[in-house]
Formats: sequence, structure tokens, C-alpha cells
Amino acid sequence: MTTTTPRPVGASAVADPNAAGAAELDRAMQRDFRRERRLKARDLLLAVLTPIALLLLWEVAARTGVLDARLFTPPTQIAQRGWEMLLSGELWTHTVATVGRLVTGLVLGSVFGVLAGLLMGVWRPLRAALGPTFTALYALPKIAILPLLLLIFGLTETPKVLSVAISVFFVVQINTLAGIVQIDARIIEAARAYRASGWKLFRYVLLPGALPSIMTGLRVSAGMAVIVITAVEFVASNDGLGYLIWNSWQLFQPEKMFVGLIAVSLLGAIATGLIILLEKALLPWKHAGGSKRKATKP
Amino acid sequence: MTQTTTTSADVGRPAFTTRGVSKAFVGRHGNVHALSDINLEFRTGSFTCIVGPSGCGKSTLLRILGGLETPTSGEVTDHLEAGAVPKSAFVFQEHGVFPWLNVLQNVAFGEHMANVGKREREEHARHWIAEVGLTGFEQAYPHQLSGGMRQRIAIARAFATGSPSLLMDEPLGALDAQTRMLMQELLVRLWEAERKTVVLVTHAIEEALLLGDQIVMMSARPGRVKEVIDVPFSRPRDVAIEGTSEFAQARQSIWESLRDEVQLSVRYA
Repeated sequence: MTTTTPRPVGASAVADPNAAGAAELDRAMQRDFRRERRLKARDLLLAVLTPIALLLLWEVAARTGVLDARLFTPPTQIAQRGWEMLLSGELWTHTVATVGRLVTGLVLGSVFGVLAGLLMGVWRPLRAALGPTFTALYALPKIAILPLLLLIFGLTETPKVLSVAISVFFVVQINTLAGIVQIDARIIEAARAYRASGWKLFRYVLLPGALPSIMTGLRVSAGMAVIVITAVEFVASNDGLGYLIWNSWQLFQPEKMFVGLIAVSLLGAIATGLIILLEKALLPWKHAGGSKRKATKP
Repeated sequence: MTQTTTTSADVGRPAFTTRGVSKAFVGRHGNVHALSDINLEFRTGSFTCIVGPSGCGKSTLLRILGGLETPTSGEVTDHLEAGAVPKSAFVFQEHGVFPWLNVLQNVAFGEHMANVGKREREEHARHWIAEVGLTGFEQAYPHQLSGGMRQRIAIARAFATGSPSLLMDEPLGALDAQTRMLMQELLVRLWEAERKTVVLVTHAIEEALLLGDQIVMMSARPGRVKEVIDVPFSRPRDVAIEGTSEFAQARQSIWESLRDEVQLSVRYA
């Protein structure tokens, strides 16, 4: 209401009862809504324009020689090469190989990770027995055991999938266990007061209470799994996107390397996106809208 | 309160009796003598409020009554018949409703745990959701609701569980003053219709006077029963009694009795 003069506090604070006042209030409201919508549109535009501008800058810089075009292939050439590789099936073959390992490793690792975390969460002896060992193993950089796995299983698919599965397992297990342990003691007490026990306590209190933390574990481990599989394919594979990137370095084919980098990034984004979708489906109580008060930043 | 005369007519046999109940906590950060020699009798169908300074063990006493805590010495007997449902239904100050269950599931939780069929427990839940004025919010999750609405879920759940007694641990303590008054009215109305045995812990003297048949005043730590008084107001009650001079006098005398204890507890804090 920028048009009305401020009313001194203490004077009659009753709203203007006549129709002209109401219409004016309505107009002011519409103005504020329009302004808020404009600001939102501007934010979106800025978010989209920034990467486009950076790509344009790259293109121009590479073509004018500001950037070395042999190292920094202009985006249009990368896109062209990507399209060619897609048509020839080369990109597809590598992607399928990587996705296969990634998905198998992720599923194995998360299933066992969630099971181990839940069992350790509800059964104290198991937690006491395995907790410290798992925590110690968690600190081990998982990629470091690849040579051992290669020694045991040879240059097959098994060590590649296992590297991913083991990395995922520890992250998911620790997050699942933490999810159960960190459930608010007052919530557990309320459940006990209403005689929740055994399976029902697990199903209606412990599992849903731990689920947000489990999903965080899955999200983190999905990102990590992409890193691990890429690294594994650098050194121990003859196909896959990691191999594509590494091989492009050895053959000095930067545009192929960029295609590989983009494909791996997309893979990571898609994996994380799918887990976020799963999270929204499994945690409706976290995502349902309503009077969840959000502070908006200026 | 063996010697207490109560104002409501249908109160009869004892619901809970405590004999020499004491509770000590031994912990890494020191030992706490929370309760000492509590001898009380809570009669069936009575509304008892427990007031006292913070840390006087009033919540501990409530939890002992409900079986969530065992006394270090002394004993608690309850004379309640409940069947499959718990003998006491709790209302906690906060965090007592499950954020991952919607309003309907939260209110039906007690009967769900007691293996009551889905149709039956949801029917009961819907009835109590209506009683506390949350109809239309059955599918909403707690975080979508205000603090007052969340406490109404907790109260509805306690009633819907069908337990003969309700144990409330500062159920309105976290609410703003206006919401609190509305909720006090709601509690008075629900209780007067149901006449369950209620024990309510509060630090608000006005609340105790408005809601209770009798008030147990506790001393600073270790919590002992300092005095038990009968509330002189007849039922049905409403918040209008808070404006009477009788109310002001009663509040004043309770405060005078509690003041020393509060000062003692402040020194500890």
C-alpha cells in the first residue's frame, strides 16, 4: 500500500470501509503479485542464461585463439562429435557398460547396506560387534581395494561391480544405522507409551524415522558410485565411459574426452535425480506442501 | 490424597495408589534424587493437576504412574481395567506425534498398536478428530499444521485410544497464550463429557485451577508432596472463572505456597 499515507499507531486502525478503498487494496495486491512473479521469472532466466553465456564465451574464445582449441574443443565441435559417436553406437556401448556396473553395484550395496544398518540399529549385540569394524573400514578409500579385488577375481566384471557395491554398502549402512540411533528419544518414548513393540514398532516408528537418513545415504552413495566406477574403468576396463575418457587422453582426442565427461556427468545427475524422485515417493510427509514456513531470501 | 474430598460426584475407587515412591537417577553427570516418599491416591474419574517448580520430578512421577519408569523404591498400584489397550494414554508436551503419520494415522495409533481393526480404529479416530475440531485435516501431516493443531492430534489420540486414564505432561506448555486458552477450554469440555481419570502436570497455576479437581503441589528437588488442595469451583467450568476474585485468591495462596520451592529450584538451576 505505497499510495496510502501511513496511519499513526493509536489512531483508528479500521480499514477503509468504502468500495474505493477495497478496490485500491485489490490493485495493490495485484501489483505485489505481479512484482513477485516478475522476480521469480528473472531468477529462472538468470539461472538458465549463465551456463549458456559461459558456453558462448568458450566457443568464441576457442575460435579466436584466446583458448587453445586443441585442448579446449569448442562446444559446437564437441556436440558434433557426440552426435557422431551416438550414431555410430560407440557412445551407447560405453554408456550401457557403465550403467550396467553402476546399477548392479548400487542395488547390491544399498540392499545389504540398509539391511545391515537396520539390523545393527535394532539389535544391540550386532551393533557392538560390527560397529567399530565397519567404521574403521568406512575410512578406507574404497578404490584402494580394487587391486586386491582384481587379484581375487581377475579382470572380470566382478571386481568392478564389487568396488561400487562395497563403497555404497558402507555409506548406506552408516547412514541407516545413524538414522535409527538418532530418532528422537521422545518419539520412541511416545511409541512405547502407546505400547508399540516388535514388528509394529519397527514398521511404524523405527523404519519411517530412519528413512530420511537412509535416503541421504543413497543420494550420497549414488554420486560416489559414479566416481568409483569411472575410476575403476580408467584402469581396469576396456569399455565404459571411464575407459572412454582415459583412452581419449592417451590418444589425445580432447573432443571425445569432453563427450565422455558430459556423459558421466549426465549419468551422475540422472542417478541422483532418480533417487530424489524415490525419496519424494517414500517420504510424502517431508515433501507435502502446506504451511511449512520457509524464509525467503531477498 | 487419602483424606481428600473431591468435588465430582461419580468419583469412586482409587485409580492409582502410590506408596512411598522414590526415584533416584544415577548418571555420569551426577546423581539426582528426583522423588522422595510420594504417597498419593488418584481416584477414578478425577482430574488431578500436579504443579511444582521445574526439576521437581513431576514428570517423573507421571511416567512412573504410566509405567514408563519404575520407582527406585516404593510401589505404584493401579486398579484400572483396560483390556487390549494401554491402561494410560499419554499426552506429551511436544514431539509426541509421529511426523511420518498423517492426522488419522496418528490419532488411530494407540488402537492400531492394540490390534484394533482398521475400520474400527479409523472410525474412532474420525470421531475424536471431529471432537478436537480437526475434521478436514485427516490426511495432513503434522508439519503442515500449527503447534496448537499438533497438540490437538496428541489429545485426540489419547482419547481415541480408549484408555481409562490420561496422563498429560505439560500438554499445553509449548503453546502461545491465546492458543493455550482455547485448548484449555477444549480439555475442560472433553473431560467433562468423558470423565476419565486424568493426571496433568503443569507449571501454570491458572491452568491447574481451571482444569483440576485437586492440585498436588510439589516441593523442590527431591520432589515431595507439599500440599494437596481441592479446587473449589463447581463444574461445568469455563475460562470465565479466571475473572472471579475466588480464582485470584486461590491462585495467590498456591503461589505463596510454591514460591519458596521455586526459589530453591532456581538456586539449583
